[in-house]
Amino acid sequence: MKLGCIGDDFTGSSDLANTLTRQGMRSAVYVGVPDGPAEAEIEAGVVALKSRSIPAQEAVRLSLEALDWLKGQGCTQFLFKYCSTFDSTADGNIGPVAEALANALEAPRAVFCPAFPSTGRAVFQGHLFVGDRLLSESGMQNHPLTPMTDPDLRRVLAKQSQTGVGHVPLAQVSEGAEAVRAAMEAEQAEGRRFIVADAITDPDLMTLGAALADDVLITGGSGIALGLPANFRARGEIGEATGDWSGEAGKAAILSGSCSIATRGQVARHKAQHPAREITAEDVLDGRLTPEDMADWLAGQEGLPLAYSSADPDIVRATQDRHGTERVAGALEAFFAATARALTARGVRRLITAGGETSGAVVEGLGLTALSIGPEIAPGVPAVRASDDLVLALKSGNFGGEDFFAEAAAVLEGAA
Amino acid sequence: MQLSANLGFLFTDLTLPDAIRAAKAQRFDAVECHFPFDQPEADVSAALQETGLPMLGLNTWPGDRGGGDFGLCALPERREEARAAMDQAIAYARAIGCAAVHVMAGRTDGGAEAEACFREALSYACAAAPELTILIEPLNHRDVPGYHLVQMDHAARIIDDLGHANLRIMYDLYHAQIMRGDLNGQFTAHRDRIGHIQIASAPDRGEPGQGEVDLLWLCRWLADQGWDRPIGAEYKPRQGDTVAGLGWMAAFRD
Repeated sequence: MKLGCIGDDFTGSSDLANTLTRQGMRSAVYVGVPDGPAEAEIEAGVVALKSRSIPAQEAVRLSLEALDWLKGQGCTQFLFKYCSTFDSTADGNIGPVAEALANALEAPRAVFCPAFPSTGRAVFQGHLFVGDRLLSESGMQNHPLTPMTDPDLRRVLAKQSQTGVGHVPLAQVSEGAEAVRAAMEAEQAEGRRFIVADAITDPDLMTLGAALADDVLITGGSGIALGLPANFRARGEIGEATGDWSGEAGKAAILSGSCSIATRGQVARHKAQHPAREITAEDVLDGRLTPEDMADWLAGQEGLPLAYSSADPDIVRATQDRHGTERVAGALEAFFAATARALTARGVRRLITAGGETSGAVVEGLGLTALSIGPEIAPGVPAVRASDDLVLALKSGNFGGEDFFAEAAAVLEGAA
Repeated sequence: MQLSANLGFLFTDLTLPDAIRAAKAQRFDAVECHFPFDQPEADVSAALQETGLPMLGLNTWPGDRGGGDFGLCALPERREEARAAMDQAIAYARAIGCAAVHVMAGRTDGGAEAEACFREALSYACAAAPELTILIEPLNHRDVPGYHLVQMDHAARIIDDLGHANLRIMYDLYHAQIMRGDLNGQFTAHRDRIGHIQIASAPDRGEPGQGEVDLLWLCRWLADQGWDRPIGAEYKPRQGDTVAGLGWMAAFRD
């Protein structure tokens, strides 16, 4: 592993791993700090913490634990990933975590750049913008837990740390990586160890990435990672942009627990041409349908079978009215988790899940802790490998086009 | 009929206190807003007292809208923020004497866990502020894809199931027209559950008086049915300038 990343939440960490994969680095996201070593071929590892809104001291402890594990995997560069709206308060934890990481790594400086141009987050003159508004006028000033009332990242950071805070303006970034490096050295020479860097476009982020080739610690949103894989490649430390996803040809199955409009369309489309079976909460609650029955049926089908929970909101609600909403939700999630386990025991090698909660239940039910990121099936939905003989597509409700299930199965099998 | 200016969409070039004064000057009978939280409570209260206008409602903080949030209270993984957002809205409403808080559900996958989370949030808000009206508003899926609450029937089921005396529907005729239509029928079916009504032309959400629905006829019909509370004007001024577009008001005020 070359690049070690620490993310302060799961969604952002997955996004970062996806970004690194798209730039040709073999990447994996870990749910918390792993117990054992990483797979040897992983070049960029992202440890996903849940540390965004916890007290600074606890965030520092967890982050240092993640850092130790990443160092143990041989990483030479480290990235602390936080939210692109820099969610934190004056006693927030971005500054303290960065400071602790910098000290532990003896890093002479660390850049800060939460810019994420594709979603409108830009850093200019040290200030964070959301679209054409300053962060403090974007609505984020009203955040009930971490109100962002100061758009000047230099001031925010200064309040959160003991370290001097410097700045690399866009004018320098526009001149290229050499100019950025010179500007950073000048700030560092003035005793400013934390350096906020401007970036308003992806090319700016690529320039910063090139300039940061030799920095041991980098901090930012997922955008700051855009330019980093090229540095490792230029030094011959990672292979060419890989695209070396090798899928699994074995049995496949789809579990859908989502009622979203997109998923309902995908289910309707799929069941017109493939074996499909509806799961009703009634049958699950009454024990008329067990995970073993469902797995037997799915594993016994030809093609790409689908099991889906009743998606008609009226039926769902009628059941909820009879049995209680929480009981229905819990029963269905437990059913999907157990069905996923039973399917892998029956030799299913490709598993496609739809619905954020269903996907979460399946990841938990299968005890998955490391997910290697593969090619993108639909924007924001990568194929992932969980083990030597299991690949998955984990889709939140509203992602993907009408043929998502068939497309996912093809990508999981290895077709481009 | 009485009209309430929605200051989330009208007079947006002014600060909230000045927008309240502008609404008064344009002869609105009440005001309502979206997210007042960065405006000093004392300044807002002063403007309300000075003008004598009641503030009918405000919304819970919607989250990071640039990042795709549109409310948090039905999002199981955002419970902590949602709770804080409800506390914030309730505290602000109390401080300025605002009568209602609209609890925004957010975009979900429509699943059972989201529904349970939303209901839990509503029970929390209703119990935390028994003296306030807690509103839930079905939005249309074209403007807000994936929003958890889109149908009046769904809102009615929540209200009936939970049985809280202070939980009501915000009936927005614009959203309801896009999702289903039958605006009279939906009013009649849910009248006892409705706590506030809002209007805008459909389909463009501009000033009342144009578009596919005869809002003037409908508002007069509502008055005939005994609806005597101010109706919220929550539209996006077509020319951008609120005052220049206020010509519609005269007919509605009669």
